[in-house]
Amino acid sequence: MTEKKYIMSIDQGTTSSRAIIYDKNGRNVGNSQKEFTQFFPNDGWVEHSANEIWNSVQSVIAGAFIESGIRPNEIAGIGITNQRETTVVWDKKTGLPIYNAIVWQSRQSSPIADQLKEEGYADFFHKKTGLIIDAYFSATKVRWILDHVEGAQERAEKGELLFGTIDTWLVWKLTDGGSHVTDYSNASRTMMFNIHDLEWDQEILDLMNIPKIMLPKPCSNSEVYGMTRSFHFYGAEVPISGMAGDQQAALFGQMAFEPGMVKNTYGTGSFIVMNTGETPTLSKNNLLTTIGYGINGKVYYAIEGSVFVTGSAIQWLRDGLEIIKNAGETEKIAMESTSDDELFVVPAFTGLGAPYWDSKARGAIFGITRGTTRADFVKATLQSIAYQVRDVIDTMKEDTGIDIPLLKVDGGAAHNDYLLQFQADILNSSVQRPRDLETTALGAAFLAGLAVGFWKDLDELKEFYEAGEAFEPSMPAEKREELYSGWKQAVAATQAFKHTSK
Amino acid sequence: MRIEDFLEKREAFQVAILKKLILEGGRVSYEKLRKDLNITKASLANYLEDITIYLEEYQGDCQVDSDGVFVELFLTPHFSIMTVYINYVKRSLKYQLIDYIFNYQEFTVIEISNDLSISESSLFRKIKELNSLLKEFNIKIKNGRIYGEELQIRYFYFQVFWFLTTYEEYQEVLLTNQNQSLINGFEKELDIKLNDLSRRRISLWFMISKKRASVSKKAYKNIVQKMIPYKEDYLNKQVRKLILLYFSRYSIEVEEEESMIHFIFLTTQSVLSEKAFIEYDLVRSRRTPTALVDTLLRETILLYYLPTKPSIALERKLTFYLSQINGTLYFFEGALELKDSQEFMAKESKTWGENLQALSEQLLKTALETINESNSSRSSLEKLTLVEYSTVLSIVDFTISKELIIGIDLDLMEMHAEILTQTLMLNLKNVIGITVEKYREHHTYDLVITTNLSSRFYTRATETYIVSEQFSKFDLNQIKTRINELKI
Repeated sequence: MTEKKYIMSIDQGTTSSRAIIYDKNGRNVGNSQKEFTQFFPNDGWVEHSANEIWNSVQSVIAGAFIESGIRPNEIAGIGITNQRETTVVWDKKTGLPIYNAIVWQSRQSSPIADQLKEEGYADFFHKKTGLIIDAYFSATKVRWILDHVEGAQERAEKGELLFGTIDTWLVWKLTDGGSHVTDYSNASRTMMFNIHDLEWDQEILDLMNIPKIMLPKPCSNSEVYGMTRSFHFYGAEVPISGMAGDQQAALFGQMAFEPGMVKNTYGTGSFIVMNTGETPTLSKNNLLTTIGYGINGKVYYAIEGSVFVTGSAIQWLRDGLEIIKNAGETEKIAMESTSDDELFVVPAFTGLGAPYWDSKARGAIFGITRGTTRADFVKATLQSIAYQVRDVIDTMKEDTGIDIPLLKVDGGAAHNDYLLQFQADILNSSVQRPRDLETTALGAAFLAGLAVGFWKDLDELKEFYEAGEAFEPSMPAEKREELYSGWKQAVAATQAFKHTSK
Repeated sequence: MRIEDFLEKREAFQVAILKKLILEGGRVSYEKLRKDLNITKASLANYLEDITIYLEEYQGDCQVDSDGVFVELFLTPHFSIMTVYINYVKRSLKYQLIDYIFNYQEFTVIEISNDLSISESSLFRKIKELNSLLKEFNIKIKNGRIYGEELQIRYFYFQVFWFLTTYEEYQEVLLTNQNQSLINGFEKELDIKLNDLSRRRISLWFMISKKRASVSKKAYKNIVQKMIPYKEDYLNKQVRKLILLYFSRYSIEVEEEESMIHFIFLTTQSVLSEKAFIEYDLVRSRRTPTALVDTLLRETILLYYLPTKPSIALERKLTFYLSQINGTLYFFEGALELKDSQEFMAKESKTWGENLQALSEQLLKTALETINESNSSRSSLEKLTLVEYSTVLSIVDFTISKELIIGIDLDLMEMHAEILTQTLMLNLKNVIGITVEKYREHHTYDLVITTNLSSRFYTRATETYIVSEQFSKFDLNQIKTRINELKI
């Protein structure tokens, strides 16, 4: 009898690590999740213990095996997806990090980014990396570590230190130092990777004074990077064969293989990623150009925009205004609203992202009347999420010239039918919610499975993939444009208001 | 082995009587004592007489009285019964033999017979008896010395001496300046903080180690094999550096294996604090069997409690305890049981419930499979490990299980209801994590135990259990099972 095989996906996120085991039909047959400590050493700084992350990954691997009853030698391949940009520098010999992992959200390297901008390097970086200079990306974080850990620069130059994003760190640990690699999608978020040449950019490295010797080898998203050492995988040596940053993995997990296909993950914020095909498109509106994935010798680029406030707007309704008990009830409450959608909430709690890029803007509410109810507030907040997504999608259309007939969605708020219907209405596009909303982990599993022949090709994936539920636009065009124009006015009014207390 | 195994039959019975009295709250009937110990009335009388004489030296701090119907134990508040146990053991010939061998390392039959004032035939008989006890530790006395793996020899002596050394003796004999400075050095170099208990344990260990360091031809075969996966472990390397440095100061030549022994002691014998262990756990080598089994068992336990998730603090505590237990199981053979593990399990299982017992068994099975040990015949160490897993599970259970509120509502004649309620309350008294009370209307309950079939509807109860008027053991077991299910 042929032994049944599975793919394990390791999803290393910002607050927790997860391992999910998938069968041949892409069904989750066992999983485990573990949270880990968040460190906030200073205002705006966010750090993780890279060792704790590694321990948590070891634990969830064990947990998934125990829960499913599947044995390690039944795993055909491992896919890794991870929080992007988070930076680890460690000692090559001892394997010990020389500093905590600096998390993508952390602002401690902002002065380095600011200086680069002041010195006029914005265009230089944008052309090579597709990114806008920001402390968000790994390059300034590496520089910060080399500056702040005694002797680090010298040791890095001697080849004693290694850098990696979390994907690299996990592969290095799982292979017991055997492989020091990253994938194109993660590399493209470091601000050191030339997305055209698919290599580390020597000019950037020289400018940042980051020794190339410490950087991992960039690889495609679907290939065998190394084998787990048996003692790190509960007795089995298994190929690690797929890797992608979380948003790109979600793009792949949503089967967005064709140019023009877009996915949106409604998380704390929203990450909207569009497949732009084999040629990179540089945005004129400050969207990020990045690598979606590289597979079978081809590289597919993507354009990415984010909305700062999505789930956090719903949290605000719950924890700030205290007008809802939980996120789940927003759908029902919004449907109870009888208003004519004339209330506009602009949740610019931390400024406005693409395409406005106004960090000084602050939230505002427009159109309140004596008859405005709690249900209207909830509805308007959900609508604000959809409006912001349309802002980004419209920008993407403008930048790429590609029409977007379908938006694939996932993330927590994708459970909300009201939101998705309004999203379809306001975009005048179909919105599709897959059966399995864990598209990030699924994408990593697909990449891993394809590399080891667990799945033959993309067509095989399409055979069992369940597209899920579609929300079709049903709003008259006139009403749609009237509402969107109201939103634009509300945003403009919000931006006009720049009061600062003395 | 049990600590009483050092005693001769007569003394062993005396200690058993004292233990029984302690367990029964200080007073037990003559008849029950006789039956429980399975001895004749005359033997019991003899043993009680021996005890009375034996306890005279404590001048009233500890005494046993009997009026022929009941036997009673009296202890003054400042006196510990442990003093009596310890003295029984220390006066036993088998213990004296063990102690003599420790102190003199090598002996001739004539020397030891003279020193202990026993005949050669008695000596040989005692050595034979001792070897039978030492078998589970895989060590033996032969040709005037003790044979076996060095780690096992030290572990055995550590277990015995730890039990028999009083706090005062530690202060006087073991916490020497030399030991103190060595411990301080350990703290500094390993960047750990040792509490008073750890300092005492480590002092005893150093005392044993120093004594054994001068013995020639020590055996390390098993330890060398078992330590292969620990070669790159961070703490192991640190300890190695430290031990070599320490012994070089005293011009004692030590083998490489010496540091392995200390690493094992440090990580398995309750020396590191939880905080120190958790810091070490972040960097410890994952290729080791103990790291592997720690993770597997922790995740098995966490899965058992899902969807309830323990706090990170509790998870760390769990990891810490498991690491001590699993480390001992992996590196050592044999155990000195201070409590009878079977008796303990039988008693505690009443409060744990069958689920936790089954989980403990599952944990032991997983651990043994992972470290490639068979459990065809369960050793003392395995039995002890089972008890320890159960204890850890109880801690988790106690911490994360929600408190269940149980109401008793019996629709019987008042007198019958009263007695049945009291009986139920008494039987559930030892179940952890529950509050039992007489049912009150308008109060919310997780479980209502009632005699009402359907005459009433408990709107504020999650569950009901209908008990028969002839409340039976079956009912009680069913109720306990339901409570365990509700707690998860």
